[in-house]
Amino acid sequence: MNFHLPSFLLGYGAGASSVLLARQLRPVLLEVATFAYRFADAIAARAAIRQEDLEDILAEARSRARGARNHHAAHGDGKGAH
Amino acid sequence: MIAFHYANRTEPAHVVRHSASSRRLRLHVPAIAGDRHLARRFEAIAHAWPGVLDATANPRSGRMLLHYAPGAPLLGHLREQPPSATDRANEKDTWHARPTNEVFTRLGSSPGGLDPREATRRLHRHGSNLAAEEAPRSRLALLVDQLSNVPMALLAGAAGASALLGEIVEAGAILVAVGINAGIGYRIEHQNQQVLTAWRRLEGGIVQAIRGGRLLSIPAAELVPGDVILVRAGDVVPADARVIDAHRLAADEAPLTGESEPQPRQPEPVRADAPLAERSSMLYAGTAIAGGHGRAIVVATGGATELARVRALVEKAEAPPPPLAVRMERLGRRVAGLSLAVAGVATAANLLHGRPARTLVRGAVALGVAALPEGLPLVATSALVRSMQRLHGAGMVVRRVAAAESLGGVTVICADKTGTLTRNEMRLELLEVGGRAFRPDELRADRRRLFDDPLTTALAAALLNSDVDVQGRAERAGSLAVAGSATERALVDAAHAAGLDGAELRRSFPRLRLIERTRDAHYVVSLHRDRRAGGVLAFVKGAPEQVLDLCTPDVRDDPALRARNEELAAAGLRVLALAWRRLADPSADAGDYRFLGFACLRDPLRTGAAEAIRRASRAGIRTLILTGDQRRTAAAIADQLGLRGEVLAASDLAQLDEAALAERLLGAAVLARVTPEDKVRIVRALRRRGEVVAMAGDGINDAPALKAADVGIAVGARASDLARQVADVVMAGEDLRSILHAVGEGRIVQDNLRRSLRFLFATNLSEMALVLGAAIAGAREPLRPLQLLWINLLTDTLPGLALALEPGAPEILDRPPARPGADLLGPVELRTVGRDALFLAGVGAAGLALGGPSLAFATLTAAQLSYASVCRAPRQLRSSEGARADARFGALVGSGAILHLAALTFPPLRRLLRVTAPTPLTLAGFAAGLALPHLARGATSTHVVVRRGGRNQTEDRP
Repeated sequence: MNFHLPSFLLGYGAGASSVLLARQLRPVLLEVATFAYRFADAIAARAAIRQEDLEDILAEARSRARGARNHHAAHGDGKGAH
Repeated sequence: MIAFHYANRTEPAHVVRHSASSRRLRLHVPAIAGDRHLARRFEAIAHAWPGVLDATANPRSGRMLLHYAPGAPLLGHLREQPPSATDRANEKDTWHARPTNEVFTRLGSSPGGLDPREATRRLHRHGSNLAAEEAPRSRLALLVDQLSNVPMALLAGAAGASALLGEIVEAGAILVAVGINAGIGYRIEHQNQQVLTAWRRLEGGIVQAIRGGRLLSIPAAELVPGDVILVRAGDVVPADARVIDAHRLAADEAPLTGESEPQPRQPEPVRADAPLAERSSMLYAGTAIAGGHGRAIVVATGGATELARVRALVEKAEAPPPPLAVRMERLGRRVAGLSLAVAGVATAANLLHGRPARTLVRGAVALGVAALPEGLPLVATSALVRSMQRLHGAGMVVRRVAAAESLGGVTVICADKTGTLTRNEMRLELLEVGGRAFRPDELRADRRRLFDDPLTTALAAALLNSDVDVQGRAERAGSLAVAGSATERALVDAAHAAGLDGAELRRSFPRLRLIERTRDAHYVVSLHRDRRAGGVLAFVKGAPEQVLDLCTPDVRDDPALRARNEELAAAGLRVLALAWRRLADPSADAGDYRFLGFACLRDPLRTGAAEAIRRASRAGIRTLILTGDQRRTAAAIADQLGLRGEVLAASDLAQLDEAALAERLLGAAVLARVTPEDKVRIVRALRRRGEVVAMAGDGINDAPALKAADVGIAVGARASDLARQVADVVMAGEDLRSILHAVGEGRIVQDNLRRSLRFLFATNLSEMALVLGAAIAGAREPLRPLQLLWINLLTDTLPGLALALEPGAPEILDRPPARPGADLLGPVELRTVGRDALFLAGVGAAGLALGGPSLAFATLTAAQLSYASVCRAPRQLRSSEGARADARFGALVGSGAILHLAALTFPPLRRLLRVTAPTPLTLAGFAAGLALPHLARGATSTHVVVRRGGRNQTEDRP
């Protein structure tokens, strides 16, 4: 295998840089990962909240409809459910 | 409010939705967000509540759903609440206007303090008595800042295009250039942040509080509303509190209100609409007890205190982007636009010539790389960092890198008075006795003639009448620490310095009684037993008009004395009259005092304050004083400083909108009785007029304005933590002339940046012109993208760096600042840049025609390296540091030349850059490239002497 100086220098430089920069890069990578997790959690929370809001709307609508029907039936005003 | 109690903790919850018809309650419980186990635990707690049929907690949303049975106690009565509902004890209340018994009732407390268990419950409910600090910027935010601008985006695009073409080495080289630039900027900002984090002092401490009828020492962080605390001279008030008991209690509220004199505190309620500075029934967190002692009941802690309100104001006040960042952003966008336009023209030209798509894309990439000055961030940062280092050597820490340049463009300096222009230490300035005025250094007491020598008697009267605490300093044997009000400290210090022994005098003349100042009687009378001669001595000290009325008829009726008092007061001095007499016994009717003299005190100006303002005026910078003091005091200080202009009070400006306020401020020199909000308004109004505003302050009340200004300067080692956190520049020393020194450094940075930009853009434009010209003429590609990157990195960094580090002219502060908002390169400079770019492009084109791309590469780069010396300041404008600067310049440009020679001759580099083997023509072209710009400069540029502002100035004109 022929010795190719530029390739050697590039490889050496990359290795040395990664060692030197590791200490600086670790906190940055940690923050990137933290940000990613927070973002994912925020998206999941939003989705869960929207789902709960929908459940609440449906539950209230159901209770109003069935509550009104039961009220009519109890008072015998001829408007109860058929 | 709903709360979950478990394991000695209390977590709040509030109702998001309540549907009575379906008997469903949706609660928001922040504590369970992301915590499955706690969610299950809270479900179990809720199941145990009477009437609850089912409870389901969702850790994803942080909410809980409760189904309850009909007739469930309490649950059916809950109402929906917005998340920001606050507890009653923390709501803004007019505590200062309520009688103390009502305050106790509303807070559920008593003079014996809170029950310890109740205190614990309140601590869980309200949280710790700690104010949230501004969080430092995250590393990710710092890095993103470096990359989020148009030129970086364009370079990243160029790298992407190169990668798509398969030119991996080129793409990698471009990304490395981007990475280096971002890394340098990130490292500097991060280091700066760390320096200032280390300065932050810990808050907290121990306070004396009464709980369950017992006196306890507890951490300040554990105080809750309703706690009864004891305060004495020297304490820092730990929380907002209502005074319930006061013995000569006085508070130094300068950090919060700017009021320079300690303010007496008393338990009587004041009117509800009283401004902060006049609420004498309150003590505020962050202020200090200047004298006396007393008790107070805590009404607000942590985020509910006035201190926290000012901090919140700081956070709301958006820091404006530095002017340099704004101009660089604008320049970057224009360059990117130009690059895209030129790339479009070149692409069209190549299409007309029938070139393949690969050539079109490579041409566009080449133009993108050519257009952008890759070395500009390094050059700009180096200029700023060098300025920062020089300022650091002068005792100023630059917290935000760009502030080093912003200082150069300052047109208005807004300075807080107390603690910034003055030392915030009362000092005895004159003692007038027997019609003669003695300066402090002339005071000599004669202990053997205590009551025969009027001067000695006056000093003894001042010392014995003052209610201070004198302790020996543990760290310095023989020296004394005097605690008490600033005024009385100054008098006692002066008496000690004159040779009186306070301890011995107190032993010889023990105090029998102290009749304190009242609302109507603005003087203090002290009665002392005379152990030496028997009998009783009475000393009185206070407001001259009233003390003179207590004296013998000849003094009472003497108009000259009263006139003299007026004269001294008009000079801005705080005047106290001193008198004494002998009494047969302490109960004898006092009157007919023997007048001793006037003690005149002043809060002295900081070193260099007046000179700093004079130099600022000569440099074309206006100074505006902002103070919480009264109008008369503020006017006297302005006179001392030699400031000419109107003295306005904040009330004069309250009804004006921002535009009208800006106009009104045009003729003003001093603004009195200003609050932190007023300072922010004033700074914004000035900025709206286009001024570049520097705000200098040291207190908590200055922090919002420090953040809102273009450059915020925290002054002095005793500057509050909050002021230092938000300031752009922190002065460790107290010499205000340093501010002008910093302004001078900023102007040097601006001049150097302008020269560097002229160089960078001329060289980059020359490359663009060469590539575009070749495309239009249908000639072969003159330079490859990697060659252009090499040229840019070589010439932009080394010579560009040399230009950025040039020393400035000594008369830098003898001219007005550059017009605010002016472009970094004006029309004249742009014409010069265009002309020089065409010249350099011509040199490159000649090389291309005579020897092909390799000769073009050799000559263009050499010409650009040599062009750097054309951009230097003319010799007449250089300072005495010129020899060192010449050596540095020669070393940097010479290094560039050597590296380029290596690129032409060293085989591995030649292969990487795709340059052919050198020939004599190549080397001759290299030498010609180095010589030509010098020859051209000699033919075109002239030095012009311009008369400006009454003095001659030399300018280099192209």
